[in-house]
Amino acid sequence: MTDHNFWGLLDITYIYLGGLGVGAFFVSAMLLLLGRNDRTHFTVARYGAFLAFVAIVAGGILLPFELEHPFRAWRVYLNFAHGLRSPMFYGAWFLVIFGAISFFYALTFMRRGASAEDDLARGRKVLAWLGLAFGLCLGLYYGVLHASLAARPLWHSPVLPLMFLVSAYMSGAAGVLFLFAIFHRKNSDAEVEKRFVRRGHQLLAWILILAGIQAVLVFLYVLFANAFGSGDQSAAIQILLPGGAFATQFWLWAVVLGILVPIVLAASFGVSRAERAPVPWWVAVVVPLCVLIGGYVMRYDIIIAGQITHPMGL
Amino acid sequence: MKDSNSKPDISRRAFLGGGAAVTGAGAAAALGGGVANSAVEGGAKKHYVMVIDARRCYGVQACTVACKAEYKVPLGENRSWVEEIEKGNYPNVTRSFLPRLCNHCDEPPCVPVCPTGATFKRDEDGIVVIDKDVCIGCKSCIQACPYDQRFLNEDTHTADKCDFCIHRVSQGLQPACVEACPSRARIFGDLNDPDSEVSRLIATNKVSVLRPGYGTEPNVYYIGADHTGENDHYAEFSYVDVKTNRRFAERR
Ligand code: SF4
Ligand code: SF4
Ligand code: SF4
Repeated sequence: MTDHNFWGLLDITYIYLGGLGVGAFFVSAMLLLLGRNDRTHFTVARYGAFLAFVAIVAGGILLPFELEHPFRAWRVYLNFAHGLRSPMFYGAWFLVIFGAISFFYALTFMRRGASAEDDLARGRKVLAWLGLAFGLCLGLYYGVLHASLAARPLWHSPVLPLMFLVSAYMSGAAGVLFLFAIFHRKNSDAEVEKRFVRRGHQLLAWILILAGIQAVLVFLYVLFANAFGSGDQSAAIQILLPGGAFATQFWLWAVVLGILVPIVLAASFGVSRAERAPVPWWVAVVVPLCVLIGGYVMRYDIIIAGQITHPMGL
Repeated sequence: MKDSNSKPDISRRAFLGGGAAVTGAGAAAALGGGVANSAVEGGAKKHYVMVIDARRCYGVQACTVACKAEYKVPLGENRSWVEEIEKGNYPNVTRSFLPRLCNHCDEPPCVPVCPTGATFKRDEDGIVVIDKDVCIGCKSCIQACPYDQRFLNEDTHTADKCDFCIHRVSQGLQPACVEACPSRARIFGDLNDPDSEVSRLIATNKVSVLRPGYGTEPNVYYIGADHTGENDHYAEFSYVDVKTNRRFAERR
């Protein structure tokens, strides 16, 4: 079975970390742009900026190890003559461009006395917009790379890129909420602290919305492959359906733990108590962990099962 | 013979320059040309195809061995193999063989996915090749082939597959597997030459290609092939067993 896993744990981890970077940047940029010049938005956006950069660098370090000839990787970047139809050509460029943007973006948060209204504010916002755009490209690329391959029926679905993208944004929001829960110290100014509490609820609400979208996407993914897909696709999806080799882990870890548990927790502790109490500490830790674990298992299952399944007949 | 063959330069630059094709044709002419490649001297574009007459194949695996020896393909991998299809319920049972190799598709899905341009379809003869000096081993093309023809060569650390024995056919010889087949189940030639044996066979026989639904337009044609898949027993309510002699026993 494992003989066919030409793309294995390294690739999955790279795609996961890349998605985490894209998502963390998304959350950071959205907070920064939505928050006008509010300092609590700025502080939480900073967590996202750092997480995005760390995740994208960690993923980028893994990338060469996936290639058999990493020292020839430069060829990809110069392959304008033949690369325009290759998803990986675009992915390689998106990765360096997004990596550079997230580096400079994180830098603007780093210097001493950085604030929402310092002289870098304009540049920071421009970087935020650019990073949103290229992050979207990179986040979609991870799915498109797989979805474009007709020879891998489990991957060959228009829903897959959206699933990977939403999962990326979800894990970004989860990562930022996690850092916020761990590192935030109560502010002495009650007014400011009240706004910080709202940021916690805001992140939880985003996770709730994204998880809701993701639940619909998973449903569509399975439905399309099973009911409307080609014979190859409906044969392949059986591996994820009850009785299939990956069914238990997919539904238990990726769907229940990664999507449904966060929905339930975020709905009962986040939105419903908005404005009242801060998000309970354990919720701000457990929800992100569920999202992060579930997102990894989702990618693992789809990428590995996609290589085990194959076209039917001959 | 093999020692006197120099491996042809399959880099894209060389053939785009136009020089390689001419040199290759010259070399072939000097060697007196081959039976199947009478058009080599002309310099006209070729359209190499293989016709496999499955009715003649009795699963002796001579092609598998010849191909393996020709390229020292690493243990566990194959550029070519023969599948065995056993089906039916007693007493109505059949057993047939299906030789497999790269189809050198006219619309090869393995080519556009390559981020380096290392794999490409040659203009002059339609052979789909991999430039081992350019390939980074990203494995995209391996994932993209609907025929599971590509593998990662652990010696070169690049993608690898059948190349229609370029080094032989460019010198007017037959591919190693064709030469080795004792029952002449494999016939190789130029489809652009209306008098070639392959043209004649394709014109006068009912031929089929594998997985036509993928729109790949394969250049390996089969006569009398059994296309039964391992899952067809659901539809036919009969015993079906498909075996390959690769490391992975199941057909993909
Ligand atoms: S059979 Fe596979 S490897 Fe060969 S040309 Fe077609 S898609 Fe490419
Ligand atoms: S493995 Fe090599 S030939 Fe295949 S797509 Fe990657 S670079 Fe191209
Ligand atoms: S044409 Fe050459 S490389 Fe291809 S299967 Fe035959 S012997 Fe192997």
